[in-house]
Amino acid sequence: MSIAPAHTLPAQAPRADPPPTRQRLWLALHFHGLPLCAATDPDGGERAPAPDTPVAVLETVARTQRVIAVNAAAVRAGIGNGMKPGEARGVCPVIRLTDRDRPREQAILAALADALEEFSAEVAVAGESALVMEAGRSLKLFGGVRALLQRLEERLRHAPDYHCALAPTAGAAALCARGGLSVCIEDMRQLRSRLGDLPVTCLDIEPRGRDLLGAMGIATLRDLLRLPRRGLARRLGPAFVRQLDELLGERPHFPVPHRFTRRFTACLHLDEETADSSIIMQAANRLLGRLERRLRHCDSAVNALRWTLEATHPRERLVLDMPLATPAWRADGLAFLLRLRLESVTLAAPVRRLSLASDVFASRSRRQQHGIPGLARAAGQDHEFIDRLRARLGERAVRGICALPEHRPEHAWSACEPGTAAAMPQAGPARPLWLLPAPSPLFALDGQPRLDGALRLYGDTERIRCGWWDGRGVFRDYRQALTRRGQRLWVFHEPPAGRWYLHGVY
Amino acid sequence: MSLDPAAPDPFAAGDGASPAWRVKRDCFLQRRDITVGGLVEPSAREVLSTGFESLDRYLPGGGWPLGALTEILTAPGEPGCLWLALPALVELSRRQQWIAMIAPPRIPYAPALAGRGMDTGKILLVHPRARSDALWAVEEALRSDTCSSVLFWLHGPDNKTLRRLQLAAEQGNTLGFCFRPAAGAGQRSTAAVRVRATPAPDGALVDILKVRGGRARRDLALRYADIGYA
Repeated sequence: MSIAPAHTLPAQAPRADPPPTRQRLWLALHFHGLPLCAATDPDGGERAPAPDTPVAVLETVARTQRVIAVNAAAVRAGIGNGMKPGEARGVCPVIRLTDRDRPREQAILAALADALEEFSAEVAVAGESALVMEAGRSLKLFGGVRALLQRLEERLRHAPDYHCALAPTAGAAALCARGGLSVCIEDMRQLRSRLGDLPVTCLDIEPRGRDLLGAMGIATLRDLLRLPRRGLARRLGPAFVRQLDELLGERPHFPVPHRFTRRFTACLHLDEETADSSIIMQAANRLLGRLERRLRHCDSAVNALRWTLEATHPRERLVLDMPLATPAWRADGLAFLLRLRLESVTLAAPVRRLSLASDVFASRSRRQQHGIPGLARAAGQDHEFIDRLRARLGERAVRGICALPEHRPEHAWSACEPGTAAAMPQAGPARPLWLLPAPSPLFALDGQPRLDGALRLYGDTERIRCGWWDGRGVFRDYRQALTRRGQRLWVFHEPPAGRWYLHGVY
Repeated sequence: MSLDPAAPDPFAAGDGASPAWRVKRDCFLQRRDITVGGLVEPSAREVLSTGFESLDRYLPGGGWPLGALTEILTAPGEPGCLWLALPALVELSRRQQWIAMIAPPRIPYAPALAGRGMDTGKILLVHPRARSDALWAVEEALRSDTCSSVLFWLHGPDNKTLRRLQLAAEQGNTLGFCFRPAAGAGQRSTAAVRVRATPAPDGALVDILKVRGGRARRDLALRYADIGYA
C-alpha cells in the first residue's frame, strides 16, 4: 500500500504496476427488484396478486412510511418512489401496499447465491441485495465474458430484476452494479476514471456520513477521491478510507464467502386446488428438475426425500417420506418413485401446495456412474428395484433374510436389509426349508405325535440345549417325521417325556 | 434334439415340395402359440438344469426354461415343494441378481437355504398386502432384468393373468415359478411347463402335465437322495 503525500490524492495511479497475467475479475449482481419480488412471492401463493394489480412496497424511512419499490402496473398508474401511503392511495385507489419483508429477501438472496454455484466457487453476499462472484478464473471455461453473461441471463430468467457489472475488485463491481452501470472493467488502472461519475450514494456509508458529504457538496466519486485522506479518515472514520482502498485495488480484499447450503428445500403453489395426480406430478417434475440441477452442480446425490402436500380446505398436510436404498440424483427415477407412491395414497383434500425437502447431500458412489446400463447391472444388485417395490408396497414389505450363528433354531435367522452378506453355512443335520413362527403343539397318543394320522419318526435325534444364560433356554430333542401323505416334518419334544411340537416343514 | 428319434418328421419336406409350401411350413412352425408334440421348438431360450436327472430327461433342453413360467401344483395345505426348484435356485444365486419370493405362505428358513449352498444375500422377500399389489410386484420382478428368478404364491391366478406374467418373464428373461394348489390342474394355462408334485416317502411323484415342445409324463419318481439331501 502506498502512502500518498498528505495534502493530495493524485488522480492517476501512483505507481505503474505491470498488469498481472491472470487478473481476478469479479462479477456483481445487484437485485434492485428484490423487495418487490419478496413482497409478491413469485412462486404463487396466498399473497400473489394478479400481474395487473399495482403493487407498492413500503418501508419506514426516517420515521415515515414511504414507497420504495413499485411494479410496472403501479408505474403506469402514476405511483413513484418516495410517495407516502396516503398519497399513493389517492393517486391509485386500487393499489396494494405491502411492507418490506426483509427475512424473505435474505432467503431469496441466499437461494440465488446457491444458484450461482454453477458459475463460480467463490460467491459472497455484498450488502443487502447484491451478490459478487469471482469469474476471472473460469472465464476460459465459459468462453469469455459475453458467453458467461449470456448463460447468466438465461439462468436468472426468473430472478428479480438486476444490474450486472464486472470489475477487477469486488467492491468496485458491487459499486457499479448498485449505480446501475453495466460495464466490464478489466484493467485495474482504469478503475478510477471509469468509476468517477458514480454518485457517492452508491457507496456503503452510514447516513451521518452521507449527510456530511452532501453538505460538503461532494456528489460523485471523482470529487470524493480528490479529498485529502487524513481529513476523510478523521471525518468519516478510518474504516471508510480502507473501504475506498479496497475498492480501488490498493488493498487486498477477501469477501466472506457464502457457504452453499447442502440441502434442498423448495415449494410450489399450484394454480388451482387439485386432487389430480397428473397435475401434481407436473409440479413435482419442476421441483425435481431444480433438485437435479443443484445436485449436478455440486456433484452430489440425496439419500432421502420428504414430500409435503398441503391442502387448504380443510387445513391438512400429507407428508410422504421416501428414504432411498442408494444415493440418487436423477429426476426421472425420483419422479417414478413418487408416482408409485401417489398411486397407493388417497388424497383426502385437494392439494394446494407441494413442497420438497431433501436431507444433507451425499457424495455419489463411484460404482453407479457407469454410463453403460448393462455394466451397471452386472456390477451389483440393483437397489433401485427395491426402491420401486418399497415405494408401492411400503418399507417393511421388502426384506432380505440372513442366517445367524446360533443354535436355537428360531433365533438362527433374521430379517435384514436385502443384499446383506451371508454368514457361513452351518454344517450339521439338514434344516427344514420352512420354519413355523412358533412351535405348534401336536396331539400325541401313547407318546407318539399325530398329525392327520400317525407320524412316523425316523432319522437321528438331534438334541439342542442352550440359551440358559438369557432366559430363553431351549432343551429339545428334534426328530424328522413323515406324515401319512408323505410330507416331511421337523418335530421336537422336550425330554424326557414332554409334549411334541411341530417346528418346521421340509 | 427330437424326443423320439425313430418317428418320421411330419413336417419334413418330401420330394416335390414347392418353395411356397416350405415358406408356409416355416411360418407355421415358428408361430409361438402352436407347439408340435414330438418336436422341439426352435427357440433360443436357455434352460437351467433342474438337478434331477430323471426330470431333465423329459424337459426340452434339459431343464427349467428361462424366460418363461413354470407352474408347480401341489397338494393343498402344503407350502409348495420348494425343494424341487432348489438346485436351480442354488445355481442362480451365484449370479449377481435377486431371487424374489413374493407372498410365500411361510418364511423360508435361512439356515436351511444357506446349508444347501444358496447365497441368502440374493433373496428378496416381498409381502404385499393387497392382491393387486401382489400381481404388480410379480409382474415388475419378472419384467425387470434385476431378478434371475421369481417364486410366487398367488391365489388362483386365471389364464389371462398367467399369460401376462409369461410375457413379462420373456421380457426379463426370468425363471418364474408359480406355486398353486393342485385343484387348478384342470384350468387352462399358458405356462411353459406345468408340473404336479405329490409327496412320497423318499421324495415326490411328479407328473409333467404340460411342457412346451414335449410330451406329458406321469409318475416320475424324484428322490431327495438324487440331489444329495438326507
